[in-house]
Amino acid sequence: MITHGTDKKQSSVLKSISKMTFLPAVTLFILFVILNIFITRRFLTSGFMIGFFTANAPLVLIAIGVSVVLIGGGIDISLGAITCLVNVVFISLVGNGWSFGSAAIVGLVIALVCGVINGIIVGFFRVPPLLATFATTSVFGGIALWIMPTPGGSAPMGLINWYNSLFLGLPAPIFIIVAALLIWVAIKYSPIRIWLYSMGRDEKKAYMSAVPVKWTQLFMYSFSGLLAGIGALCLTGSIGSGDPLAGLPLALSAIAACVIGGISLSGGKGSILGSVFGALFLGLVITTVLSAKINPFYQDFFSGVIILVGVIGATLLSRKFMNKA
Amino acid sequence: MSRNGLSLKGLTNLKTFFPSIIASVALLIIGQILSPGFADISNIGNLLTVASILAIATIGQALIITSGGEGIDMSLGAIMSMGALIGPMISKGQSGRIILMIAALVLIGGIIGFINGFGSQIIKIPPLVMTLIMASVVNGLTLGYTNGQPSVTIPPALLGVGKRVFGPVRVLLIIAILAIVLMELVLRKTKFGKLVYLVGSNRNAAKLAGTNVNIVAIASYVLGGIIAALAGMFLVGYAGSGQLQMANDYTLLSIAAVVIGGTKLTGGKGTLVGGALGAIVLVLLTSILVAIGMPAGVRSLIQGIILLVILVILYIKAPKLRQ
Repeated sequence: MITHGTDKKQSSVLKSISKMTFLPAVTLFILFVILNIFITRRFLTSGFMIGFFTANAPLVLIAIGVSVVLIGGGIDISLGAITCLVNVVFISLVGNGWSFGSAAIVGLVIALVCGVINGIIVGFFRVPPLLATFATTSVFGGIALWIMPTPGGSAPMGLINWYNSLFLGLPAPIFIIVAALLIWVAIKYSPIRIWLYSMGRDEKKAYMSAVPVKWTQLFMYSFSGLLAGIGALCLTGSIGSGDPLAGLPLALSAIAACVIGGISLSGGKGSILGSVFGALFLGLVITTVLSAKINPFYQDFFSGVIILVGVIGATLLSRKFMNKA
Repeated sequence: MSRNGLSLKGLTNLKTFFPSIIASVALLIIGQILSPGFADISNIGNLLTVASILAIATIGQALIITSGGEGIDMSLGAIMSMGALIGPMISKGQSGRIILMIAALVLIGGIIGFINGFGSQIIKIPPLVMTLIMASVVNGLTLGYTNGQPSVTIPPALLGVGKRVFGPVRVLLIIAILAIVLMELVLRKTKFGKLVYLVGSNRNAAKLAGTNVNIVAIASYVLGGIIAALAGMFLVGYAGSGQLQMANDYTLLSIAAVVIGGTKLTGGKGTLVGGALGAIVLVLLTSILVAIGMPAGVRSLIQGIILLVILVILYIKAPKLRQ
């Protein structure tokens, strides 16, 4: 694939990248699409597709962001809190008469700064990432709750209308997802990709092989922070208002999506594509449970059980696949 | 390394307790200055009672983290909430059925713990993800079982956990101390306890020594699930009323208490006494912030910053990459 991977170690890293770890997630996704064609009314209509992508684009974007961190051997559970923070800042600024564009830019800068803070604490202070981002969740989420203690405000109608519409014949959120994937494609053709995978496999060996570990860590947490910021703007377009808690569950759902998508929490394995399908699968689970006319009080239980079965299936499938490869 | 040496290492290393003790005393003094009456003996009694519930929950979390393999229980709060809501429903508010309630909670908590353990150890789903999904399953189960409107009539005998025994000491504090002493003895003196430390500190060595690593780890999750369900029962007994997801904060609080108590998240090390001290520090901090009228957002912000400072101090001595 890439010609400069001549030395043995690097080629083994490349080999692990090119294994098709995303297959279980794609399989689950296709199974649930087929299932929903039968049980969900108007499943293949553009109206449903707009609703589906509107609701699930934030999760997909955050899953893309956290994938990069997981591949690099880290973890980031603060992305939900960053999403909340950007959402309430954006709504507050718009409420104070700021234009959509400038409020969005401030929101994205804040998301990037949050990511940089995570990156500094993990990369330079060497705090284990789970604990570091656990603490920053409390910090970022606290600021969000401070700015806006209860849900309120409203998003500009221009954003809501565009976000919930067809653009060039496709649901608009798809273009945002594609744009995020294009950023990743650009990264793929830089050395950062090899650095990420080799760091995820063995941080010390990567350091000794002259990978700039600290800076790559700073990069990956900043990247995931920025994607959480984009996800927050999508969430705002979806819920149409500010909510200091709405984004919180996304952090952990995104990690579940990555694991379904074949990314290993111990790092160095998996692909972004898998996470995207993992996140779309999670979205389909909710659609399925809603369509299956289950007692509303048991909907959460059944969606939890389906996700559990999906993760077990994905784990067993990928292990079988890995052993063969 | 003899077994004896291994088991005594944690207890004799009293140094790990000093930061929490110093922090507790400092927080008490700060609290008294900011809000006179904070360090009154009766208020200390109340604070210790609240800390008792967190300390009991922390026992289960500490056990699972100590058993290693990236062990962590993100479903602890969900199991606690379940125990708090489903427990009283099973008892139908009658003190006579309290034994039945405890038996049912032990069974349900044990089953959930077993599923957590089986999924993480046998199927090899990362514990973080496994227990996270179980949290949504358990929360969903509670929601379904209670039809969204928990009708919690608490048996009078269970309300007794909040009663004063002597002076400011309430029943819950005594239960927590007994539970910690009992579990410390199990961890230090029984074969199971020693195996938990062995498995947590070095899985491969444990395997080579002929230990069934999976069974020890699964047993930790089962015990953790049982303890969480019972902690939920104590919580509702003290609170006197229940609401959905009332204990969900305890997941992250218990992890923070374990970390402040000096347990490394990598497993194989740590003491329950440390976790209990961590619980006291967290409860003191929260109470001070509530007492001086901080809004919830600022409380969370300050807690986060303090936790960050603790973490940076703890890990600044960690081996550098080049070592």
